[in-house]
Amino acid sequence: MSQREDLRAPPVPGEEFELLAFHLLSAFVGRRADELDGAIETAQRSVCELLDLDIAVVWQWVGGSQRYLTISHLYRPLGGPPLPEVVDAQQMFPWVLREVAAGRSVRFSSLEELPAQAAHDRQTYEFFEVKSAVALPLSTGGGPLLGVLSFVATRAARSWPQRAIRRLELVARIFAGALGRKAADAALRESEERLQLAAESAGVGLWSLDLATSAFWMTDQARRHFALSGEEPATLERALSGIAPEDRARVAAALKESTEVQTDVRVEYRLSAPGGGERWLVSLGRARRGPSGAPESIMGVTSDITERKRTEEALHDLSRRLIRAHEGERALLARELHDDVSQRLAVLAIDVGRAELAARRGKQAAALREVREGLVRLSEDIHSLSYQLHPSVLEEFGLAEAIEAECDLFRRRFPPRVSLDLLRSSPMAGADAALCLFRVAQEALSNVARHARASAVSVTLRPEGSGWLLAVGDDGVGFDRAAQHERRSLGLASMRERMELVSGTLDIDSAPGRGTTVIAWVPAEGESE
Amino acid sequence: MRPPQRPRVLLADDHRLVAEGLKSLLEAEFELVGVVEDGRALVEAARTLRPDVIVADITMPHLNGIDALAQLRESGSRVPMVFLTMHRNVAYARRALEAGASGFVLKHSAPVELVTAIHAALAGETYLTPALAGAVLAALKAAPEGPVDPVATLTLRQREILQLLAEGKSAKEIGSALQISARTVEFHKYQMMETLGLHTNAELVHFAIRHGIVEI
Repeated sequence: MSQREDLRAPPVPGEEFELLAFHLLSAFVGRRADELDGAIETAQRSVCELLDLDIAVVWQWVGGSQRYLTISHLYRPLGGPPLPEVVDAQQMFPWVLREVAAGRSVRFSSLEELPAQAAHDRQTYEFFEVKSAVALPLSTGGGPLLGVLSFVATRAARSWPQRAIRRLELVARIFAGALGRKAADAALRESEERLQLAAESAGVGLWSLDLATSAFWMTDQARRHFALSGEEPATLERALSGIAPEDRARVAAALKESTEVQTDVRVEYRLSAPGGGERWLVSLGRARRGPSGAPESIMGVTSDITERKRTEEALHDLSRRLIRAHEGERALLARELHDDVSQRLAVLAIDVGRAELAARRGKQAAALREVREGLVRLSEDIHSLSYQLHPSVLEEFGLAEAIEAECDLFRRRFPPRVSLDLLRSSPMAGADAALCLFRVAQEALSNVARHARASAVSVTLRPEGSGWLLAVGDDGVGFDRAAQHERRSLGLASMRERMELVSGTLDIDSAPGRGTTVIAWVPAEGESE
Repeated sequence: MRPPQRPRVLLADDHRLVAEGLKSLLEAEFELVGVVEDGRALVEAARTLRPDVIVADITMPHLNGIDALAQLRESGSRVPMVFLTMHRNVAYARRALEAGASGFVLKHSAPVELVTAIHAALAGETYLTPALAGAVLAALKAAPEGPVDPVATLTLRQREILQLLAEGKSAKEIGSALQISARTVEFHKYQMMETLGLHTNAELVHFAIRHGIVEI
C-alpha cells in the first residue's frame, strides 16, 4: 500500500505513542497472572483512545485448534452487531489468517485495498461494518501463534502509517507475552492442584521453607501432620515444638544437612500428640538453590508412618524373639555336645588309651591305637561343631577373645594376613549385643574368605561414642553396592537385621577394587529386655 | 626299700566319669591327693593339700580353672598347673599360658600326653599339646618388622579419603562423594591416624602433603 497521504488526520502522534508503549510495558511488568486480563483491557482502551479507533479485539485459538478463534478481550465502546462466540477463521478470514500465520501484519485503509484473494474476508468485514482495520499476529518473537490482535475503525476509513504498525506490533508482542504467562500460570496452578490432590489422597503433606524469610508454606495435610489448628500460622518454631523433645535436635540437624548436601535428606521422628501418645512422621527434604548455588529454600514431603512403625516394632520384636530362641537352642545344643557327648568321648579315649598302654606292643595295641585315633578325630569334629553352634569362649572370656579366636580359625584356613586391633579393657554390656557383634565378625570374615581375594584383613574392636565399634576391613576386590542381589548372598541383610535388634548400626563400605569394610556399632547398654 | 616318694597330684574336673578315667591313668606314676569339682574347691584344696602339681579342667562351675590359677598365683603359690580341657582353641591355650600354666593338654589326648605334660611341669618346663602348638606360635609371632613405606600401609580406600580430607572436604562431603556414610569416613580417618601414629586432622593433612597424596 502506498504511503502518500493519510485519509484521515491526524497521523499517529509519535511521542505520545512512545509514552503509551512505556506505560503499557510497565503495566504488565510485575503483574500477578490474575491481573493480566485487566491490564490487557486497559491497554486496548488506551490504544483506541490515542489513535481514535472504535474496536480492539484479542482473538485466541479455541483449545489450540489453529482454526477456530474466540474473543477473549474486547473493547467496543460504540457497540454494534452481536459478535459470534467462536468463528471459523478459515471460513471467515481465510486470507488474513494465512498472512498472520506467516507472521505478517495485515492492514487496510478501506475494503477496496483488500486483494482479490481476500473476497471471503471482505464479505465478513462488510457484514460487521468494518471500514478499515489492522490484524496483528499475537506471538512473542518467534513463539507459537497464540491468536490475532485487531484494531478496527467503523466510523470512517483511516490510514495506517508504517510507524503506527510497528508500534501496534509491539503492543501485540506485549499482549502475547502476557497471555503466554497467563497460560503458563494456569498450567502451573493446575499441576499444583493435581499434585496436591495426589498428595492428599496419598496422605502426604507438602511443605516448603523459605530460608531467608523463614516463611513456612504447607498443604492442609501437612498442617494436620503438625497438628496446626485452624488459621494458626505455620512457622518453623511451631512445627519443631510439636516434635518429641528427644527427636528435635535430629530434625534440626537434618534440616541443616539438607542445605549442605546435594541429595535428599530423610528423617524419621516422633510427634507428641496433643491427647497423649505419639505418632511417627517421616520427612524428606531437598534444598533448592539460587543462581549462586546458595540454598534458598527447602522443599519437602511429610507422611505419617505410625502404622508402619508399629508393624515394624511388632516385627522386630518377633525377629528378636526368634533370633534369641534360635541362639538359645544353638547354645543349649552346643553345651550339651561339649559337656556331655565330648566328655564321654574323652572318657572312651582315655579308657582305650589305657588299654593300649597295657597291651604294650603287638597287634592288639595297634588296633586299639586306631580306635583311639578315631575317637580323637570324632571328638575334634564334635568340638568344632559345638563351637560353630555357639562360641563358648564368648561367655568365658568375652567378646574380644571370641573375636580373636575367630581370627585364629580364619588364619588357620585362609591365606590373608590378619591384623588385630582389639581393645579388651572394659567388659561389654549386654550379651545380645556381644553375640551380635560376634556374629557380624563371623559373617564378615566368612565373606572375606569366600569372595574378597584379599591379602590382608584387619579386625578392630574398640569403644566408640556411647558404645562399641567392630570393624572388619579387607584389601580385596570389593563389590558394587548398587548390585542388590549381591547383598543378599553376602548375608549383609541378616547382619543388618541383627544390628537393628540391638539398636545398633551397620555401615558397609565397598567399591570394586577398593576392598570392603564392614563397620558395626552397638550401644554399650546393650538391649537386654 | 620304699620307692622314692611319688609326686603328689591334685585333680580338678567336674565330670565324674573323666575324673574316674584320669584317676586310673595317673595312679600308676603319681599319688592322687585329691579330686575336686570346681574352681573354688581347687583353690582351697591347693592351699590345704599342698600338691606338687595340679591337673585341672578349664570350664568348671563357680570359678574357671584359669581364674583359679590366677588366684593361686596372687596368693603366692608357685605350684605348677597343667590344664586338661576339651577346648581345642588357641584362645584358651593362650589364656592358660598367660596365666602361668605349665601345660595344656586336650582330654582325648590324655593317655598319650598327660603323663608327659605332668613330668615336664614338675621339671619346670611347659608342655603344649602338638595339636595347638603351631597355631599358638603363629598367633604369637609378631608382624614382620622393618622399615615400611607409611603410604603403603594405607589401603586404596584410605588414600582416597585422605586425599579428599587434605583437600579440605568434610566427612559428610566425602561420604556423599564416595556414596558411603559419614560414620564410615570417620572410621577410615581414625584407622589412618592409628596406623600412622597421628593425632590430629592437621597432622593427617600434613602427612598427605609430605607424601604427595595431595598437591598444594
